[in-house]
Amino acid sequence: MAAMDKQFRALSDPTRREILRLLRDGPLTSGVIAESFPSAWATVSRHLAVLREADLVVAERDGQTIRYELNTSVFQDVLRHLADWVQPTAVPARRRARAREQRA
Amino acid sequence: MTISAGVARRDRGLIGVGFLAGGIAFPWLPGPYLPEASFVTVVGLAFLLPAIALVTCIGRAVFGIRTGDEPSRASAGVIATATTALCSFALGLHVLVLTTLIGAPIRLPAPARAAMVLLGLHLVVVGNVIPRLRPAAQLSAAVQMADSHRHAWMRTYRTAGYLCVVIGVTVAIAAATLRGPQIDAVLKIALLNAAVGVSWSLRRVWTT
Repeated sequence: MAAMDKQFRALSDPTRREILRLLRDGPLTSGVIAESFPSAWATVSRHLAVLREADLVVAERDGQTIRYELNTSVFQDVLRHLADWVQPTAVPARRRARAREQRA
Repeated sequence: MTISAGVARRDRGLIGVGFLAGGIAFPWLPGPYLPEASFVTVVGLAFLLPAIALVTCIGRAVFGIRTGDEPSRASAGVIATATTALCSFALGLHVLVLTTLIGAPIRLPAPARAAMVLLGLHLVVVGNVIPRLRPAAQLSAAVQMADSHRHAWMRTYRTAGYLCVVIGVTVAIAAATLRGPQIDAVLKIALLNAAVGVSWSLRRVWTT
């Protein structure tokens, strides 16, 4: 169950889904992945760590660099497409509304 | 590492249940459908499928992937899942064959349908994990070619995984819901689509 939680958590973020989409075209180094996003390298690195922890990508050291390779199953790919479609957010809408009420 | 330690506990359990089922059914075999069967045939009917599953598990334990880097571990996970799926499929089929042969009160099309559904589910489980497989010396006959075209190799396996899942779902649903000639037509269409899909995908992968 913990593994499933990690996978859903990893797929809930649009940046991480975009990283998975980039990796469909072949393995990439963390530097190349980071260049594809406006966010800081450290942020992308954190996203990669989450994906790696969920077993959705595998990392392989290649000299000085680390190469990331897609490691999703068919159903995880389907879940990624579904997540792109429904656009889930990390915090449920009800909880966000409650937080807004408390702030107000 | 001993061979018994190399065989996963769940696989050992499934194989054990298979042998147990064969042992329990043995006195009633060959049953009303095969009254002329010889002793060797009866032994085969009772224990062949669990024995095939056992040989597969031993093969995996002996020749399995042992290198510790992440991609190899991912491949080893795929092989473990496929082995368990095969053991489950063999056990399911074995129970169906035994219950049919000993003359259990089940209408005859039902076990055939159940076997097809099992096959479909087996294809879904194995196809689901196929995209995680990497070229490895133990698995690929053309290792050098697979390594030099690693990405194309993986894209091909990803496509194969998708097709396997689609065909598996089609087989399972068709077997559970349709009648004989309809199943035949649906499977032919699914296989034709798969062949077209594979050709298109291979052309795209190997030419880019």
